[in-house]
Amino acid sequence: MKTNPTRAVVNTIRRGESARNRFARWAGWFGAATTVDQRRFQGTDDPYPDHWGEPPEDWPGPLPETATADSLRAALAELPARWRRVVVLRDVERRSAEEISQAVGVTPAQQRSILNKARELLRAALARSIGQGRDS
Amino acid sequence: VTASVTTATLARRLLPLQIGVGLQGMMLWVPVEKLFMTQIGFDAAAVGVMAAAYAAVVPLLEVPSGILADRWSRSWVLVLSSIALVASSLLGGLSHGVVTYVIAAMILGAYFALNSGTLDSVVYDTVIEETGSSELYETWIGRIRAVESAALVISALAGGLLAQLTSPRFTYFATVPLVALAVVGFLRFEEPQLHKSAERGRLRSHVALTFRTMTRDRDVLRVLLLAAVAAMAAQAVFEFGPLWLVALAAPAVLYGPYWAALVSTLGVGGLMTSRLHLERRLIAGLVVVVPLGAALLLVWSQSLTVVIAAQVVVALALAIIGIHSSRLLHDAVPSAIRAGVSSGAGTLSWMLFLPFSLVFGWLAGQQGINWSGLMLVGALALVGLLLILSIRRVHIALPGAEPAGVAEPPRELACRQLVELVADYIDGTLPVEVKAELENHLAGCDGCTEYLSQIERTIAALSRLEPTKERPR
Repeated sequence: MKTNPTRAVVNTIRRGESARNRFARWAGWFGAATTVDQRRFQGTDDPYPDHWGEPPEDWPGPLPETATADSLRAALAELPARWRRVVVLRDVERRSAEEISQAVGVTPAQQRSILNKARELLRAALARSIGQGRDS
Repeated sequence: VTASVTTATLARRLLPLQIGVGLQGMMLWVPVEKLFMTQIGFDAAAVGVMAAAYAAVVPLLEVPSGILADRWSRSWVLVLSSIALVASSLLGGLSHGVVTYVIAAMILGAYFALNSGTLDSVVYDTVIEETGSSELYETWIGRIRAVESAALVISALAGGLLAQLTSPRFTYFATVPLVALAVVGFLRFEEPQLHKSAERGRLRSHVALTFRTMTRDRDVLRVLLLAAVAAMAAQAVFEFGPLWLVALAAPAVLYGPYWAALVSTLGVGGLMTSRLHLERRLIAGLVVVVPLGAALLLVWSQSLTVVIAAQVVVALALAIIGIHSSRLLHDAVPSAIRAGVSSGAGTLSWMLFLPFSLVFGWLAGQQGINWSGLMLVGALALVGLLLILSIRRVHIALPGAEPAGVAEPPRELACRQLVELVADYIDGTLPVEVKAELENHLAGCDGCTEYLSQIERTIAALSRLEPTKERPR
């Protein structure tokens, strides 16, 4: 042997299934594909599948300005380079979506997808900074 | 224009990984392993013990190696797997007896465990980092598997030739520099920063749900068993098949093309499965009966040509049935636990393979390899029975319809989907009807309303940062 038929078979399936099922590649096993931590939603066995199991806790009044800026900078530094470029160009420098797609070299759809995921990581970081444990 | 920029960056980033995978696949000793083992004093029973030893190592190490990859570094886990492969090849090549070689085989088991799954997850996260979506994942994992398959076929032919020109022992040493070079590729690879941290906390409840699904539903259990037994039988052909060639005193040069043919059934099987209609009884009957006949030839024949052809037929049929059964399994379980059930089938196949290889080797030692061929016939008969039963189920359950799960039923917009659309909603790029549905959902959902407001407050806080500090290169 010394090749692994089981693995080859499983990989072939993974390759085949996404063409047939657009949810398959987000099947939860690959956590990074989705925007929000998938544990926060109810599962197939729960009363309301796919709805919030752990909804975001309400944020109190205005966020403390300096602390918020510091948390955001720290969280930005943790992002993958391309995600950081997209979100900084868009939300800090307020450039247009078209400009960013050109500058970063992604399609408009990819740009929005990156933006959506990057903003969620920054939101979760802010939630942590005001002591909301679920987002840790 | 912009899309091709992404593709080019992605290609450049994944190139070192592909080089590493290609070099790691150059295991020159694999085609002549059984020949070499026979030369250093292995009999069939000892081969069975060796196979059982690494079959025990793989499932034991798979979970810890997954955790190591998640918490430490996936590039380094791939490097570790190369080191295990180098160590195994070196120790194998230095072996002059059974015990040392069995230890080498167990180190090889560590290589399998470290390698399996790590590559998939690293490619997946790289694609997500570069493009923000998983759309291109299938394309890239397909390319990387093609590199791996090509390396397996090339090394099969090259290894057989090298063994003929030098000695089987030399192929082990020739493998070492190639696999060691793979380390350079893995180290030059820029590892994605994203981590699958979401999976850790969930693991326990996930495993519990997966286990419940696998054991409660008889249909799922039957398909799971089909997948596991087919994988076990395939493993047995790859592990013990070369013993027929040893018994018939095949020359070393024949092992290369033989192994290349056997390895290529994995790819060819994948292509054929999508074209065969295994849900039709006639086709399924042929896929069951033809390899059974071929396995019976393995019991009776003393001809090298017949034995090799029969093994290729059996391996091809098992690849087809294996892929088909995994699709049945895919359709029979909810999407969230599919990967878990697939790896459950993998673990079960290793657990079945362990006693199977012990008995197979013992029987081959007592009665000759032809007699243990009967065990292969038995395994194929069981595979056939389970396959036919699974067809009956599909036919009764869904007359004339597509198998369940092929197309997910359209669902209402739930919170899980809404959060994926927030950037499009803020940008106003959603189609009118989706926008209306989203606003309708927001009106009745406190959680999503709070979520959207927090994203908007995050954007507002970002706009208050001084642009110069984070200006990208």
